[in-house]
Amino acid sequence: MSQSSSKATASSLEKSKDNKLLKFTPKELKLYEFLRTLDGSGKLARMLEGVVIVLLDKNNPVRFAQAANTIRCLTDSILDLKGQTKRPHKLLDTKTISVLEKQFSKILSIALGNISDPKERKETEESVVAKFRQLKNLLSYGTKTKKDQLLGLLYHKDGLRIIPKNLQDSAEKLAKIYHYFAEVLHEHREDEPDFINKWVYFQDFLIIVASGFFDIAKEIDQFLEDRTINNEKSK
Amino acid sequence: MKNLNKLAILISKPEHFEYFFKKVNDPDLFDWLDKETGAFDHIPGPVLSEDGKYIRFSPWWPAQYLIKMSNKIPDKVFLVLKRIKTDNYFVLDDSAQAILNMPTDFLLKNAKEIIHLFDNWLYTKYPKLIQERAANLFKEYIDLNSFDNALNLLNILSKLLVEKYKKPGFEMEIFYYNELIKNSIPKLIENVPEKLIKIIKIHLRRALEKEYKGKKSDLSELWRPSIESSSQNWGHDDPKEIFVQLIRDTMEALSKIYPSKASVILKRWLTDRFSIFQRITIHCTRICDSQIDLAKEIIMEKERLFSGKPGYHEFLLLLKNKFKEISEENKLEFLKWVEEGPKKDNFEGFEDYKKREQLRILIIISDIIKESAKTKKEFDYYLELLDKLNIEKLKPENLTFTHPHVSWVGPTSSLTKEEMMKMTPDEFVDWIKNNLQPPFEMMGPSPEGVARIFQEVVKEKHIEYANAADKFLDDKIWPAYLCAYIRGLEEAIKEGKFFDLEPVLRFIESPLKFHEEPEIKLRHDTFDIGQYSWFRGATYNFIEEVVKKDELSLIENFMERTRMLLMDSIERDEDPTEAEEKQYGPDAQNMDYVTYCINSNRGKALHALIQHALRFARMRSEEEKKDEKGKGPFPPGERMNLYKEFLSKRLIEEKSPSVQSSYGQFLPYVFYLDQEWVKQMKENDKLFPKTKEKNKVWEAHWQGYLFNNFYDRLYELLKEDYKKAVNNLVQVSDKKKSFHEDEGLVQHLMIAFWRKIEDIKEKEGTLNTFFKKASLELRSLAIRFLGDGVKENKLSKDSDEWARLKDLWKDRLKKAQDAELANFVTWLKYCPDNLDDIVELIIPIVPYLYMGYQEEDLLEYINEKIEINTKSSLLLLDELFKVKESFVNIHFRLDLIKEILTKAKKYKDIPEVSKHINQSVNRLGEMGYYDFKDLLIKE
Repeated sequence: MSQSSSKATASSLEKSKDNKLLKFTPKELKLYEFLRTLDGSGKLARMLEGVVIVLLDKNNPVRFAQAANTIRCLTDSILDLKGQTKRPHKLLDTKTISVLEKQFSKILSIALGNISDPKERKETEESVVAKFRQLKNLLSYGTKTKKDQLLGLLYHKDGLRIIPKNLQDSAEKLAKIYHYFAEVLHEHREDEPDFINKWVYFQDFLIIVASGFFDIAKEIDQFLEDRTINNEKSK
Repeated sequence: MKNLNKLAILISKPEHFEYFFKKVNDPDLFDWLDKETGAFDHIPGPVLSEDGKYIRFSPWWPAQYLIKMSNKIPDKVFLVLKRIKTDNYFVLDDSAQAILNMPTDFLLKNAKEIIHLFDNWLYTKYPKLIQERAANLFKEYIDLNSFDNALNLLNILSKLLVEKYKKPGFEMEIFYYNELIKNSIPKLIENVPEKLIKIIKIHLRRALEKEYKGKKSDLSELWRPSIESSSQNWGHDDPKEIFVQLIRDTMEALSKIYPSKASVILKRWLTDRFSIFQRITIHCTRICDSQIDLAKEIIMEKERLFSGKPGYHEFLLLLKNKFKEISEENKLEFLKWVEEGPKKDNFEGFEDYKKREQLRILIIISDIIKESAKTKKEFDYYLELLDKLNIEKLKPENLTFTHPHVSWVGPTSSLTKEEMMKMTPDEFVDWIKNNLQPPFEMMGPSPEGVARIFQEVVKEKHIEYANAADKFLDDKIWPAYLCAYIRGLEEAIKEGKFFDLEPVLRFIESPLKFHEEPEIKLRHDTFDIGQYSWFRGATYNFIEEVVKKDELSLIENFMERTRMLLMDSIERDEDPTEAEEKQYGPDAQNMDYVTYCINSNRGKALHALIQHALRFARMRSEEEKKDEKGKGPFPPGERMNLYKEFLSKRLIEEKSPSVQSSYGQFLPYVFYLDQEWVKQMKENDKLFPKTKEKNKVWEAHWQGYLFNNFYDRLYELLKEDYKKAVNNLVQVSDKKKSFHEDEGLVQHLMIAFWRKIEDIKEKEGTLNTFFKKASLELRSLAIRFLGDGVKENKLSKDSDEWARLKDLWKDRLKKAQDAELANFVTWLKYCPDNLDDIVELIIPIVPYLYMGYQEEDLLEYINEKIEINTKSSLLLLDELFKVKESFVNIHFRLDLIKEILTKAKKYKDIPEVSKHINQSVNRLGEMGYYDFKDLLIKE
C-alpha cells in the first residue's frame, strides 16, 4: 500500500496536488504509467492519485466511500475510452442524461415537498431515486450489464470462446469487486478491513485493460524466463 | 503459487493467452495448466457465421504447447489428446501434429490407441487437415518397419463413404490417398503382400457391393477398360480403380514371392462373382511366369473364346503372350475352335462379325502359328485362313479392345496445307468438286476441315485466288469452301495486302443460289458442308473491310456496285428471321442486341453499308471537305444523300431489334454524315422512339449507342434518353443487357459530371437519380471511373474539377452506407490534396474497404505519406487496425506495415507520433505479429 514519505526513490516519486510526495507501490506506479499513456490528458492518472491520497488519510471517516467512488469513476472512464459504453443501443448521450438528471431532481424536490411525514418522505425519495438510477443506467448503457461491459474490456466476442472457464472466472471476480465498490460508496461504509486487498486485486484488472499488448507480453516473458532460471538452478 | 495466480491474470485476455502458449516451453507448468486453469478442457468448436453462410474454426492455442511437450512428456500429452472431442479441425490437426512429434518408442508402444484416435478424428465432420497427418503417421509406421500398424491405419484410410454419395468415394482427399500409395506402398507390397491384398480386397468388394447391388455384372470393363495401365483407362480418381491397381501390383509381387499362395487366391478369383477379380487373375497369369499353369488352363477354356465373357481384352493379351507355351495339340484344338467361330446368331452382319473376330485372334497369334507351321504342316491351313480373311479388309481397328474409346479433335482435312499450296486454283477446285461428298464419316475428313486450311492458303496466295474467283462460281462447290475463300481474302485485306477486286466483286455479285441451301441428309452434314447464308455474311464482312481500308483506292463503279449489293441484301436477306431471333436472341436471354446483330446477315450488311457511306464521304474532293476543318467532330452539312432514303426506309421496315441496334451503335458516324437527318428521325420517333410499343427498338438503339465514346452534342440530343435509362436501372442484372451497356452509361454520366454537364447538387438531376437507383456494382464502377480520371488528368489542388470531385465525395459520404465508399480509395494515389486536408474524408471509407486489395491500396498510400503527414497517416493506420477483418487480410503486406512504422519512428519525438506507433505495434501484437515489438518506443 502506498504511503507518504520524504525518502521516496526518484522512479516512484509523484507529486500530489498539495505538493506532498507520494510513494506508489510498484503496482500502482505501473498502473499510473499505463493510465498516462492511455489518456494523454492525465485525467485518469490524477484519478488514481486521488484514490491513493484519500486512502492514506486515516482521519477521513469516509475515505473508503470516497476511494470507491473514484475507483468507479476511473473504471467507467476506461470503459468509455475503450468504447465499451458506446453501444449501438445506447439511447441517450451523457449530456442529455445530465440535463434529464437535473430536471428529475427539481421535480423530485417539488414532489417530496408535498409529503409531510419525514420517514415517508425519506422512503419515497430512496425508492424513486433507485428507480431513476435504473432508468439512467438503461439510457446510458443500453441493455448491457456492467459485468458484460467489464468483461468486454478483456474479451471480444470470439476471444471469450478460446479462454478456459477457470480464467474467465477470475475475470468475473473482478467484476464482482467493482460491485463491492459500489456498495461501499452507497452505504458509506466506514470500516472496511478487506477494502485494501480488493483494491490491490482490482489494480491487476485495471493494469491489464489499460496496458498495451507488449506491456503484458513482457511480463509473461519475464515470468517464463524466471522459471527457466529457477529450473536451471534447481538442477 | 502466488506467481501462478499472477500468471492466470496475465493470460486472461485472449491475445495474451495466445502469446503465452506460443512462448511457453516448460513441461513443469503442464499440471497447473491442466488442472488449475482447465486450459485443455475448453476447446472452441466450429461456429456458424452470423449470415449463416460459413463455418468458422478458432485456433486452440494450448495445442501449440501440447505439440511442444509431446516429445518431452508424451504420456501426459496423450492423456489430454484422448479427452479431446471436437469437430474443430484446427484442434484435431494440432493434436495429430502432437502425436507425430512423439518419440518413436511411444508411437510403437501405443500404436493401437493412437490409430483408434485417428480413426475417430478422421470421421469427424471436417477431417480435411487430419487426413494429411494420418498419411504422415502411416509413412512413419512404414519407416519404422511397423507394417501391421501401417496396415491398420491404411485400413482406416481406405474406408469409403458408401452412404453419403451415389458412388462410393474416399472420405480422404484422393490426392493424399494417391500420394500415400505412390510413396509408401512398395515397402508394404514387399513385406506384407498377402495382408495388404486382404485389406484392399475388402474395400474394393464393399465398393462394388454398394454400387452394383442386385446387378448381374460389375461393369468393370466400363470403369476400368484394361487391368494394365493404359490410355484407355479414364482414371477419374475412382477409388475402385485405385484399389484395382493396388491389388494388381500386390498380386504380381505375391506371385513372385509366394507363387503357390498367389495361385490359390487367383484360382478362387477366377470364379468370383465380380468380373474385376476374374480379369485381375487373367492379367496376373500373363504377367507372372510362376502362374503359367493357370494361364494354360484359362487359354484352353473353350467358352472364353467369342463368348463375350468379361476379361476378353486380358484374355487376348494372354493369348498373345502365352499361347506359345501350350502344347502343339492344344494349339491345334484351340485353332479349331477359332475356325468354328462364335455361336451362330441370326443378327444381320453375323458373318462379317464372325470373320472379324476370327481374324482378330489369328492376327494376335499369327507369329506363333507361323513358328509351329515350320514343324507341323497342320498349321499351314490356319495361315491360309488368316490370309483369306485378311484380304477381305475386315481387320479390326484395335486388336485387343473390342470397344475402344475415341475422342473427337475437330473437323479434319484430307489435304495438308503443303499439298494445297502446291495446287493451282484450277486443281484445287477440281479436287473439291470430286472429293468429300456426304454423308461424311463421324470424325472423318470433311469439307469444313479442308476449308479451314484452304482459308489460310487463300490468304497467302490472295492474288492468284482473287484472279480465279470465277472458278468458284459453281453449284458443285460446297458453301464451306466459298466461305473460306472469301474469308481468306478478307484476312489478306486486313493485313494490308492488295489484289484485283473486280473478279472478286463479280463473284460475290452473281446470284449464287441466294436463298437455296444445299440439301442435306444428316444434321451434322450442315456443319460439314456449310451454308450459303454463312457465305453471304462473309461477303458483307469482306465489303466492310474493303471500304474501311483507305489504302485501297476504290473506283466509283466499285462503290456503286457494292452499295447496290448491300442495299439489295439488307432488303432480301432473311437472316435474322423473327422466329430465330426469338429463340436465340435477346428475348431468350441468350445474347444482347449488339452481339446478335453482328452475328446476323442483315446486321453485318447494315454495318458494312454505314462504313460504305463513311468511305463515300471520305472520297469527296478535298475542296468539298475543306470547310469542315476546325468545326469539331460534327460539322454541319449533308454527306449521305445516296444512303439517306434507304436508311430512313429501313429504320421503319427493319423488324429485328438486334439489327436496329446498329443505328445506335453508329449514331456518332451517322450524326457526322447528316445531323439534321438524325434530329429529324428522332423527332419523328424513329430513332430512340418514345412510344411504348416501340420500347424494344429504343432498348436496341440505346444499347448500341452506349458502345460509343461520349460526345457533348449527343448527350445534349439524348438527355431525356439518359434520364430514361437511369430510371430504368434495376438492382438485379438483366441478361438482355450487355455489361457494356451499364458500363457505358456509367462512363457517360461520369464524363458529363466531369465536364459540368451534370451536377451532384441538382437534387432531382440525372446524376443523383443514378446514385439512388444504381446497384452497388455500378455505383462502385462510377467512383472508380472518376478515379481513373483523377489519375490521368493530374489535377491541381485548386482546379475546378477537383473541387467538384470533392463535393461528390462529401455527398456520397453523407448518402452512401455501403461498399461504394471503399472505391474512393482509388482516388488517393493521384489526389492533389494534402493528406491532412482530406483525412476526414478517408476515415469513413476505411470500414468498407474490401478485404485485401483495397486495404493494400490504403496501406500503400499511407506509406507514401507517412513522412509528409505523419500524424494523419498513423491515424489512418489506426482506423485500418480497428476494422476487425483486417486481422486476416493484412498479413501479406506486413512488410509494408513495417516500412510505414519504421519511417514513422524517425518522428518519435513528437508525442502523438510515438503514441500512435505504440498503439499500432500493440495492435499488431494482439493480432499475433510479435516481430514488430522492436518498433515500440519507450517513453
